[in-house]
Amino acid sequence: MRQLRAWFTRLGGLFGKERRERELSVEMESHLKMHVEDNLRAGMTPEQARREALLKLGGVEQTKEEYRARRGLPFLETSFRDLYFAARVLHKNPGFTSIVVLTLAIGIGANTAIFGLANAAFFRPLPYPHAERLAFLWQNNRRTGEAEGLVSYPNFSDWRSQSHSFADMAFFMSGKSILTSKGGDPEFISGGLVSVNFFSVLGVSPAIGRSFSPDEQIPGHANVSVISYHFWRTRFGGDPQVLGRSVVAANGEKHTVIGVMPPGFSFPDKTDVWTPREVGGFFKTKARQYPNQHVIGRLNPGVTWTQAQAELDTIAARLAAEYPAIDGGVGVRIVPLRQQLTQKVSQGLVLLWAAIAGVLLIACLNAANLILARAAGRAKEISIRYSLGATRSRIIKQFLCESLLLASMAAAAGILLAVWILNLVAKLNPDLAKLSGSVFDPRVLAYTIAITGLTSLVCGLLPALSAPKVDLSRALREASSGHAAPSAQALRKLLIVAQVSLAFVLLVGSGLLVRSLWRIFAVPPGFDAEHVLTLHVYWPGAPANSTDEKKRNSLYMELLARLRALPGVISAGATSNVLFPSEMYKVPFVIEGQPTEPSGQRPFLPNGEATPDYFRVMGIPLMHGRVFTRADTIQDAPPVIIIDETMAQRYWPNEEPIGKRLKFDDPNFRSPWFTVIGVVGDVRQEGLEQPAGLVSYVPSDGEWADDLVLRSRNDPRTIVAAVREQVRSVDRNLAVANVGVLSDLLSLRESQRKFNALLLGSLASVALLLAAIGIYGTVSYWVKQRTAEIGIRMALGADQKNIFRLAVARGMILIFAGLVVGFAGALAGTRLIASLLFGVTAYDPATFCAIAILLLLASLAACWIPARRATRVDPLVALRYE
Amino acid sequence: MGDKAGEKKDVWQGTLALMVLKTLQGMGPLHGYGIARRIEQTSGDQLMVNYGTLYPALLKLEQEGYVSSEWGFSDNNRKAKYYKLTRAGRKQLNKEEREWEQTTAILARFLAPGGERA
Repeated sequence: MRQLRAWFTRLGGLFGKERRERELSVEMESHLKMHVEDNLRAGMTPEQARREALLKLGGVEQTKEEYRARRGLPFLETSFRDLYFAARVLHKNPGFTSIVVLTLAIGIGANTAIFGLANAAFFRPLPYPHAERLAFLWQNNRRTGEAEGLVSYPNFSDWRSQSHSFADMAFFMSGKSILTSKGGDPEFISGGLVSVNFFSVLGVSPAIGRSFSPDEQIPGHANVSVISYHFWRTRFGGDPQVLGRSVVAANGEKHTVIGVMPPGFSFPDKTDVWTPREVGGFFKTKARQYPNQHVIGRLNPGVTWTQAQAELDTIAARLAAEYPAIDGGVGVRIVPLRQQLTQKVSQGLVLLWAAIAGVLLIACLNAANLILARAAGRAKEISIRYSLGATRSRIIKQFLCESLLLASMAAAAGILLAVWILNLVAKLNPDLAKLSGSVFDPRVLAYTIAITGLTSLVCGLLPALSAPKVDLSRALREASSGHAAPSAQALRKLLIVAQVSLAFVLLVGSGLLVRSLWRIFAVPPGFDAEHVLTLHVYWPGAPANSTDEKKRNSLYMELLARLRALPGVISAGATSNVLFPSEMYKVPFVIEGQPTEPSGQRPFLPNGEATPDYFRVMGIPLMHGRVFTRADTIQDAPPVIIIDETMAQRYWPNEEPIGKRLKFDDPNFRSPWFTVIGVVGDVRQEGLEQPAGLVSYVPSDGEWADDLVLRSRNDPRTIVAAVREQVRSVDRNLAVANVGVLSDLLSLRESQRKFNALLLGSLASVALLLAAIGIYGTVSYWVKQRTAEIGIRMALGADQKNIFRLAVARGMILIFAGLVVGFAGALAGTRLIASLLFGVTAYDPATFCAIAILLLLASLAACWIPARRATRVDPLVALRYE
Repeated sequence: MGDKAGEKKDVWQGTLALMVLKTLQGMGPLHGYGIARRIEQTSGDQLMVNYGTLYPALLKLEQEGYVSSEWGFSDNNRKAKYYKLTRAGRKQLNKEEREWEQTTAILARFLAPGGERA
C-alpha cells in the first residue's frame, strides 16, 4: 500500500523538476553551512571545516544523483530522453530512415495482411452454436479408393440410429434451382434439399416463422420452404407477411414459405432456399448403393473425436458384414467442420505465410545491416559516451530506442499497407474474399504489435551487441568514418549472405509455382473454347406429362435448327451439362463380356446427353467411329453410345471398342445394351490439372439436353440478343438463363492458381529488391570506408578499371556465398511445396539455374553504382580526408 | 575514499529509516543535518559514513507518507527543511520496534551461552 503511494509520488516527481532541484540545492547548501558552523565552533579552520563537512556529506553531486533517482522514475526519464534523442538522430538522416522504414513497412504490412486472412480462416468463430462439435461425415470406400464420398440414405439412417456419440445427424444436397419471377428473367438460386432436422443439428433457428417439422419429410407433404434472410429482402422485399407466400420452381412446383433464417446464415453454400427432402419408398429403403447425400453431425458433449470415430468404425464394420455386396470396404470418415471449411485454403495460406515471413526476415536483416553500417560510423560518439560514464546496457538501450522508433513508424505504414492489400485481395479473388478479415481485429493487431516488437529487437540488438566497448584512445584518434570493429564487419557480411540466400529460396519457390501454372495452361483442354456461347433453356412451369414432353422436344429441335441458321452462328449443339462434371449424372455400369463386380462395387460412369452437332461445336475431335446422326435420336433407334479415349484405353486396351456393348445399372430406368459407335478425344472439364476422366455420351432426345452451345463467327457476345429473340419466337414460354462465354467460364477456374502464383511472384520480387538494396548498401559503405585506401591505390597507379573491379569483387564474394547457402536451403525447402507443383519437379534444374543467374545479375547491378562512385575518388582529396 | 571511513560500518537503508523515525519521535521536528548528527551521536559514532545517504532515505519516507516536510528557520536563522513524524509514521515506528524486539529475543535464545534448548 505504502509502496503504491510511493510509486505515485514518484510519478508525480517527473513534473516540476526545476522547482525541486532548486529546493534540493538550498537544502544541501544549508546542510553544509550548518555543518561548517559547528566545525568552526569546534575549533577548525575555515578550510578544514569546509573540507570535513564535504567529506562527511559524501559528495554533493552524488547525493543529488541518488536523490534524483529516488525522486522520479529514472527508467522512465532516461527512456524518454533516449526516445527523444533517437528521434533527433533519425530526423537528421532522412535517407537512411526512410529506406529502413520502407523496407520494414513492407515486411510488417505483408505479414499483417496474411495473418488477417489466416485469422479469418482459422479463428473466426463459426456462426453456429458450439461449432467445434459439428463435423462432416463421409463414406470412405476402400474398393473405389474414394476417401471422402457422399453417403446413401439407408447408411445415414443406420449411422444415426446406432450411434451414441452423436446427438443428431442431418443430411443435405445442394444445387442450383431455377425460380420463376413475375415478368422478369428467371432467377438461378442456390437451393438445398435437406433433412427435416437440418437446422436443429446446426443449432440455428429461423428468425421468422419456424423450421421443418418431422412429418414434412413424408412424400407429398414436403411443399414447404425456408428462405434465407438475403432472399427475403431481395425477392420478397422484406415483407413482414412473408409467411404463407410461396416460391415457385421452374417446373411449376409451389413451396410455401414457412420460415426466414437470420441474416448471415447460408449453409452450405450461399443457399437461399431450403426444402425438405422427401424420404420414402426407394430412397428410404433400397437406395443403399446410391450415395448422394452430404451428412453433418453434432457431437455429444463430453465425447472426443477419437471416440466418435472409433464408434462409427464399429458401426460401419457391422454394416459391411450385413451388406457385404454394397457396404463391404465402406468406412466412415469424420472431418470436423472447421477443418472441412479450411482444407482447401489452409495449405496455400500456410505457404504464403511462410513466404511472407521470409520476406519480413529479409527486410529485418536489411534494416539491421543499414543500422550496423551507421553504428560503425558512430564509433566516435559511442566512445565518448563510454568515457562519460555510460554503461553498456545504456548504449544498447539507446540503439533499441532507435530501432523501436523505426519499427513503430514502419508498423504504422505497414498497417496501411495491409489494409490496402486486403482490399486488393477481396477484389481479385472473390473466393478468398469470403475469408478476408479486418486488419483491426484485436488478434491481428496483437500479432502486428508482436512482430513489430520482434523486428525492433532484431534490428536493434544485432548492431548494439556488435558495438563493443571501443578502446577509448584509439577511437578518439581515429578518423570520424573510422573502421568498425571486426566483429561488426563479420556480422554485416553474414547478414548479406543470409539475405541473398533467403531471397534465393523464395525466388526458387515462386519460380516453380509459376512454371506449374504455365504447364497447366499448356495442357490442351480437349476442346476449343474460343467463340463458344453457352446458355440454358427451359420451359418454366411446364408440368411433366408425355404430350408436353413431345412438344418440348420438338420445340428444342426447332430452336436448334433456327439458331444454326443465324448469320453469326457457325454451328449449334446441345448437351446435358457443360463444364460441370460434378453435376453430371454418374451411373454404375457393366460391360458385355467383361467380368462384372457385384452390384454396389461397380465403377461409375459419368454420362451426358449430346446432340449430333455437339462435338463439332465444341471442337472435340473424333478418334474412331462416328458421331451421332439424326437417325440415332429418334424414338426407337438402336441405343448407341460414344465414349472417350481414356475409357477406350482402360476397358478395351488391345481391341477395337467400336461395336462393343455396355449397360447401365440405374434404378430409375431399365437400361438397354448400348453399342459403342465412336470414340472422341478426352475432355478436361474439371480443371486442367485433373486427369481426364471417363465420360460417355448418349444421343439427345431433348429432355435433358437443355444446355446449348453455339460456335459463333465472332465474339460470342454479339449474338446473344439474336439468340434470345429466336428463343422467344419459337415459343413465348421458353426462357433462357445462364448465358455465358465458354472461355470466360474456363478462365474463372484458373483464377485461383493465377492469383497464388501472382502473389508469390510479387513477394519474391520484393525479396529480390530488398536483397539488392542490402547489397547496394554494403558495397556503398565499403567504398566510403575505404576512400583513403582507394586514394592510395590510385596514387600508386591503379586505374579506374581496377578500382571498379575491386569494388564489385567485394560485393560478389558475398553474393556467391549467399547463393551457395541459398542453393542448399532451396533444395531442402522445395520439397515442402512439391504437392502444389504440376509438371515440374521440386528440384527442377532449369528453375534453379535461372534464378541463380537472375540473382547474380541483380547483385551486379546493385554493385554497379557504388563501384562507379569508387572510381571517381580523387586521390588527393581522399588522402587528405581525415 | 578515506581510511577512517572504512572503519565505520555501512547502514542498511531499512535500519536507517527506523533510526530516522525514532529520532524524530524523540526530538520532534528536525532538519536533515540535525537528524544526521543525532543518529551519529546515539550510535556512539559507530555508524554513518556519509550524511548524504540520509537525504534519499528521508525522501523515501516522505513518499511513503511516514514523515512530512516543511521549510522553516534554524537557530541561526538559516533556511532549512524540517521533517516531522506523521501519524502513519508513528504507527509504523511502533510496529517496527515490536518486530525488532521479537527478532532480538528469538536470536538471543539461540546465541545464549548453553546453546539451544533441547
